[in-house]
Amino acid sequence: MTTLDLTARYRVDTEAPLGGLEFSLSIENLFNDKPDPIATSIPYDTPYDSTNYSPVGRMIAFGITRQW
Amino acid sequence: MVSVDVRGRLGIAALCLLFPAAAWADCEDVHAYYSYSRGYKSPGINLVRQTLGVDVFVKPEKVDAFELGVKSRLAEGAVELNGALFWTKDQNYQANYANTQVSPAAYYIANVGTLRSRGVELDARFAPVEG
Repeated sequence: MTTLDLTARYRVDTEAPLGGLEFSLSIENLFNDKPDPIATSIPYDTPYDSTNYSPVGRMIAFGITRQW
Repeated sequence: MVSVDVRGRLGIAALCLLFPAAAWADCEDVHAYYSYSRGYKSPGINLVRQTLGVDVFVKPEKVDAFELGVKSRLAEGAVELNGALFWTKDQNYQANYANTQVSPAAYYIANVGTLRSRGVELDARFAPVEG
């Protein structure tokens, strides 16, 4: 499984209007890749490596943070 | 102006990788590393019924992990480029095992052979504007 994660972040200068605000946009797993299947001996076992990989898929998040 | 600077620094970065001790180049912003580590998980004994004829002993699990990487800061800190290659060999992996060959089925920890995890990690950061 290969994931590409991108994040853009802009912190507004403290002197400017909206100072102290930080805007962020992040995309995790841009290509919506899935974990590779693994062999299991118990039928109800998780059929992928859940320790190292996430089954969530592409996730897009927008964030606003205020510092004071 | 910035792109010329970046290209110049990339040249120096390549130089620093080939000759880490190069005195004529400024290698302070480029750092190459190599790491090896060994992991160990203890042996054990499974509490399964002996009449099943299953080997109750679990061998120790051993992991050899290798990593080779570069971390660099270019264009006066505005660009950060990092890369790494990793290769992990896990011998006698101890897995939760369901043995359905025996009746009734038995669930225990078993060594299931050697696992390999290898890959490439790349990450880059750019700070194009003052903010």
